[in-house]
Amino acid sequence: MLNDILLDLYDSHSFFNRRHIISKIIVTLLLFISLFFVRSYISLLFYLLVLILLIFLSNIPISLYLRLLWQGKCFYIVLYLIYLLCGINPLNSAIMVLRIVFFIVLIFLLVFTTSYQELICGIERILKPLSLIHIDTKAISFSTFLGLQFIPMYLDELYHIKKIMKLRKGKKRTSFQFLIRQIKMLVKNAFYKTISKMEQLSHIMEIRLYSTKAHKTYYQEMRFTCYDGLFITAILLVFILLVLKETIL
Amino acid sequence: MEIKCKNVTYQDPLLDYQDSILDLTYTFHNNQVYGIIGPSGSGKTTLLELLSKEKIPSNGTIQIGSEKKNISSRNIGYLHQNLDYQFIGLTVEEELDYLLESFSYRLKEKNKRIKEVLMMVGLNNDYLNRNIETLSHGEKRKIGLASILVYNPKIILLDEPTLGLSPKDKKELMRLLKRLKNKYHKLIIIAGHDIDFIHAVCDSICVLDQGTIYLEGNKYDVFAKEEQLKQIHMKVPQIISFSNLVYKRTKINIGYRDDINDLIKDVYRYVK
Repeated sequence: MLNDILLDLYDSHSFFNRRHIISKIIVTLLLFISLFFVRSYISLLFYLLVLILLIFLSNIPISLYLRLLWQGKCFYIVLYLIYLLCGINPLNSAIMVLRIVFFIVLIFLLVFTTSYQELICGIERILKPLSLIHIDTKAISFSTFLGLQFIPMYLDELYHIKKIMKLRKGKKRTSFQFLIRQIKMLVKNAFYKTISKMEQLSHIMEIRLYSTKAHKTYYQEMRFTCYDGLFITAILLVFILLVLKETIL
Repeated sequence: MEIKCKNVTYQDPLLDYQDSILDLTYTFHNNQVYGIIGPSGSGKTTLLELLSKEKIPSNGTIQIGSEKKNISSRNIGYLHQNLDYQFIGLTVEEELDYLLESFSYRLKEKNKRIKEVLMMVGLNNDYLNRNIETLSHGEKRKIGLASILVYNPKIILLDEPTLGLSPKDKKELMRLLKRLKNKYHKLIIIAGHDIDFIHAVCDSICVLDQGTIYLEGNKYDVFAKEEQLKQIHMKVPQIISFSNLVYKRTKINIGYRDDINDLIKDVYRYVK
């Protein structure tokens, strides 16, 4: 799995990796909400700088993020064209597409630096108040966890299938029909393989005695330190600045 | 056609580890079967990935074919060790059909070629509609082999081809590889830990250790250096180990053989 492979290869002692899961989730949510306040060049640049800093703090090479993001280039172009067709001006369409790209990067940041159990445990804790009104928070947190894993896994599958297609490219010039076939196979097969891997992942979780009916679903807990508090405060400031920039200033 | 590796080094850009995981100069000649062996982490898979053009060397050059006409990657078939990244299609038919269309085979030729290739790897047409993910490891490996043979590449790279195969399947694979070399003049490079299989099939051996060439040459010469191989925790094939033991105890040189039956005949001759 992408997450396991990365945690084995990359520095799991990076600043981002060592943060408490609650702080990571709160920071991700704050940054996600801030995306809706990114409407101008300056906010865009500021947001991008914050993201680059967080990528740097995760100690995972930026080339990995770029490699995965690049697999969705056709999707970004189609989205941009749809926005243009809906009458949105080119600049705003570009900003809207960039917001989606930033959202994907946020998911990467969270998923690449957090183990499965930690992530599920964190989401469960955040949703715990809902259990008072008898909502099955464990099932929701497990589904959310699988949903978060989907985009990185799908982009990774796209990358690998494209790589094999490129290596086994027979014809020097491909016909339009064959190109359509390639695209259909790429999108469909990557999707199927991702779903199949996620199914395997959920089986593995069950084998490791994770159950939505069980009382305890985590076995390891990190302490919430002052660095986590500072981290949340710093991102909260970013959020406030973006809101102020777009509303009052 | 040959593959020339000149001062090839490779450093994984995504890893913090700064030393090269591969550093070698070697030439693979045409119409031969090469075996690449070595302890785990010696760089066997990395070497195959560089030869298949999946990875680009950090330094040095890999020339495949002549200087005037560098062969493209579509003439190289690579069977990965990890079969998760071998297939494009979901079903066997989709996989083979896509590859044949990619190599401009016509419809009539396609069906004939698919049947031919499945027979070569010891499978029948019942496998065509099977989902590749639901196959056993051995069956997946056979389909992986079929998917690289289907477009008739000039160079065949196999990474651990015998993983998950029964002894009967290994024998069939041995026969197939010998036929590909003798009848179709392919260059075949096999990397793996199955020393007995590699000894039976290969002509030349290249032993890697920590990314560099430790020993190389004709298989009999390489496996004769049992002590040197033991230093890097490598074993020699059982046939050679037995021949060496007989010589050590009785001073009778029964010679090296590829097949155990030939060895038994030699032993019988001496005993008689």
